[in-house]
Amino acid sequence: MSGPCKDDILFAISNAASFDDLGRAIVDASVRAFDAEVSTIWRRYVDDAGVVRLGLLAASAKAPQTLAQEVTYVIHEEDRDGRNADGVTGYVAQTRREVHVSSFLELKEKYGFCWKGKIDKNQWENNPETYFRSLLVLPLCLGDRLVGVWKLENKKGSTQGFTESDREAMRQLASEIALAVHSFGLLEEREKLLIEMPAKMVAALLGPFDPKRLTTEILKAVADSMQAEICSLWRVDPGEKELRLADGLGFSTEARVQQTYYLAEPTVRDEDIDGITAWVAIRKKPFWANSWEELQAHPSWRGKWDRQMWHDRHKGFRCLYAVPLLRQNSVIGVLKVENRRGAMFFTDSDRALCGILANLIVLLDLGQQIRAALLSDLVHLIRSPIGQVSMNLDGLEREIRKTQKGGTFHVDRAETYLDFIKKALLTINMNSRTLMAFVQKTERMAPPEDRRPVLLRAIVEECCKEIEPLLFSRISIQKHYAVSAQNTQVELDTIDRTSVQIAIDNILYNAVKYSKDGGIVEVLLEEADQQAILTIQDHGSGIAPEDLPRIWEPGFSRRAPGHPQGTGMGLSTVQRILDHLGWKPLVESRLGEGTVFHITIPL
Amino acid sequence: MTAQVVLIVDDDHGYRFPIANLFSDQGFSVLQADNVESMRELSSKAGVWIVDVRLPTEKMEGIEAVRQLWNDQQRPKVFFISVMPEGTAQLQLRILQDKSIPYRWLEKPFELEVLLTEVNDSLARG
Repeated sequence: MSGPCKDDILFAISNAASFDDLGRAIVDASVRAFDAEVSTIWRRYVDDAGVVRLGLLAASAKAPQTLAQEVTYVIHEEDRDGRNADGVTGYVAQTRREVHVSSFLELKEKYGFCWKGKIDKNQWENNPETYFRSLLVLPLCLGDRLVGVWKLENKKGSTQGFTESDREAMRQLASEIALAVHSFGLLEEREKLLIEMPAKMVAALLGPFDPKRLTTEILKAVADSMQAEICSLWRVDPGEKELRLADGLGFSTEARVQQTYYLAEPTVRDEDIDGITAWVAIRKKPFWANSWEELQAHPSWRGKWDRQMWHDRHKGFRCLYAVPLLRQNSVIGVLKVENRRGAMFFTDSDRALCGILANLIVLLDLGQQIRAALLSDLVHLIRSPIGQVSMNLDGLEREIRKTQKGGTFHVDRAETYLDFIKKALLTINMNSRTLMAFVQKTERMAPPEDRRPVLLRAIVEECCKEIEPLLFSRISIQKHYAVSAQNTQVELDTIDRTSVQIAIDNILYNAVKYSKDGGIVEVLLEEADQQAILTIQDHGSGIAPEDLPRIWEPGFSRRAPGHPQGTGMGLSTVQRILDHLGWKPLVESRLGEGTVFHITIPL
Repeated sequence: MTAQVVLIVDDDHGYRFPIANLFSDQGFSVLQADNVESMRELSSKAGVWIVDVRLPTEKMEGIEAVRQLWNDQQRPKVFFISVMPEGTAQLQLRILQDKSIPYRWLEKPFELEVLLTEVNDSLARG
């Protein structure tokens, strides 16, 4: 092979942007450089069952690539003389010896003991005697480590097969190709992990609500990514005094028993810290050891975990990486991986990956907490007012029974029971309607032709009618429709109509909720200059000036005395609805005097 | 302190009201608090504490308030009330168990009669 041909292959390697690219570039350059009809590259991999195999990385255009991809060779790595080799390709992989033959007869004579003709039916139409002329196969190794196998077949225009200079040139290139295949293989594996791991973790988060299962799923994902034999997750307890084992993989139940680390103050000396795991949490720094000696040399090492894990023998230990889980600079736990599968230590890149995974765990943890808090809030929103209805009814019944037995009937007390029941029912009604607005937002399906003119007065009437039976504490609603607005219409589809009702309901509900006993809520509808104005005014407690700009914020909720908790979503929902319709709200309020909502509706 | 004084700690008047009537009808003196600060002021005057687990204080919730205010010598009877089941507060409750603070848990809504029986039984046990 001439110099420029070798350069051709090296150029192909240097320009490869992906693993597939690399394989194709090498085989295409190979057939040109060595005048071969076919070139293939096979890579070593371990399948899901743990079997070591050779699989096709790339084949030159002449090879029946699709069919060859189905062929794999099992490598019996311990069989270095190749007696049990799976085909000639498997023989080269196991023995690390090159194979060169110039005829099919020679192939059968020399390698008949292992030849299986696996690929011949695809490549030579089951007729290798006719088509097969020569073969040159080289192992691709880095030192003693097998990376793959490189094959050339049928030297063009020659009955002697590949020349000695071809073989020498291949040998010279083999280590460079091996290095490239190995590096690209590592990158591809890492890339796959980086893509798959977040997806796996998110899938775990979206699964059935079960924090324990989620922790286990996270650990499985981490152990897979890091190829760690042992993986454990430690959480700081709520009192921030201890680090407790949340879950772990790869160790016995014995090692789980009451495993905790005491968390000392950050100012304590390293020597006084209760183990390396505690040191990682207190110092908020990662730690790694690639030998037992390195581990023991750490001033905080106590060997508590090691005694349980390795029974004081320490023989099983190879390497450890422990990383703190930090949320806004406070530590929530520690992630530990130990003993990289099939390797003596964790590399820098392993540690970088572990750092990324630790951040993902923190994110998942946060997601989990938010979900738990949301569910808990929902339970409160639903159960709290229902509980009030139930217990005030219970109180009212006791009051009636007491009277039946000759006791005094307390009218005021009975009225208060009824007030609480009405308030709770009103809250249930409002909370459920507000939640409904969120469902509508995501499931908006009304067709455009659904729009039709609606009397604004009719919507306002419906909203008041809905609330009136639940009015408490002698609060009343006074409605006034200006002559100009008697017949004012707006065009709305059915979904918008419901949304408008939800918005007006919410404002009315707030006006009632913050009114004083016997108070009046005024509702006024008027029309002028191509716009309608709906005003809802109460004379209740009013809104503090500092709170006024915040009332539209989601989650902002003022607790009205004597009322069950609101959703904190009411006014933010109102704003979203009004924005969508192009209606403009304006709020004025004075503390102790009341609040006025004006909604301007363009016509 | 007298065992006949009941302190009801709940920020929701709609819950305090029926519970307060229940005990006042039975001859108990009733104190009410709608936050932890009021509870702190009144706690030493009552032998029975009925405490909502979720109080509107950012850091201190009902269980934490009981942990801080419970006095070993006066040994008030503690009843937690919550819309959530007991299992949801296991971690916080463990701190009470560690300190040997006895309590009962009632899930809202409960029958007023059940609460009355529980309180009377626990007072009878001493």
